[in-house]
Amino acid sequence: MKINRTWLLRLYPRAWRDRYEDEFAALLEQCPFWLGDLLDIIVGAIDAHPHPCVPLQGGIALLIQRLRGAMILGLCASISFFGAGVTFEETAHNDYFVALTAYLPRFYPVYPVFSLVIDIGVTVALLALLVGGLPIAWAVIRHAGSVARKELRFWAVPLCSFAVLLPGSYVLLAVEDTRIALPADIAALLGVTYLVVLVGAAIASAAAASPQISGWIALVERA
Amino acid sequence: MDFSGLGRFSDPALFILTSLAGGAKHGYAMMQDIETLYGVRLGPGTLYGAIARLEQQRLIEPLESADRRRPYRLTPAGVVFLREQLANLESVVAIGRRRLAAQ
Repeated sequence: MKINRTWLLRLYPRAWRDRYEDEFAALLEQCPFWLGDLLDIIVGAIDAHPHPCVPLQGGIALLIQRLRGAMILGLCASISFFGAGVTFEETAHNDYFVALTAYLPRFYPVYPVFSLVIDIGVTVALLALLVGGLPIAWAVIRHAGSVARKELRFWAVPLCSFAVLLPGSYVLLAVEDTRIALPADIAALLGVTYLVVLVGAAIASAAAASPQISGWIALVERA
Repeated sequence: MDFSGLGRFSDPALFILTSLAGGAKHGYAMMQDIETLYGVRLGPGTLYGAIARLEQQRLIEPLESADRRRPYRLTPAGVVFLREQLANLESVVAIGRRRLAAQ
């Protein structure tokens, strides 16, 4: 039976493939392939994910892989929670929302509790981001510094973007709070300029940081 | 040590250890040997699931190979382990035979 064996091997976890891929592929090439073998390999691959059973080097690679997965998951969860919290906070200050809650006295007392929970959650998420993210950022910067000083320039892009956007955001919010009636065309120009800078900074930061992160991940995987 | 940590791979592991007791073999040679001796065909996924577990428990070890077909052999711990398991099986067989003979 002709079958794409490379695809089948890709079902197995990376650490397992690092250790057994070559000999497993040789076995598949050598032995007659039965339809039942397809199911057997799929079941084996499913089993190999929770029980890769790879010796030392592969085990370390797997540990790093899982650690990285957990870090990415935690980061995404924190960002999602932070985003949800900010959205909720903004919604809660919205005039329509406040008016709506006034019409629902039965549910209104629940709002402060929700607000408190969200505030605590956002604080915890931010602290988690700082605690978890700072060592990673420090390790990346140290690696960049030890391998090639010029890599540091790339990290300057997201940092500078952040340094420009943060005060810019505060200025715009301050202008909004002062209720200064800006001419419509100037307000539109400000808004569009800010949006363009924001999107441009995000693209530039991602473009500058991605190769460095990829290189760092590859280095960790080779460790 | 027993086969309890091997889960559904305990039977294939016993076949592999017994096969390797006859000398070092690579994966496909093990498959053929087991099929010839016991009439059991281990699928590639089952075979390598068991090999990975046995190697992790240091009951078998890989040998250097010029090609991609890596041969394995029993470790001294694997020899001791196989002897223990075969002794257990012999005990089960003896008890079973005695009880059947009494019927």
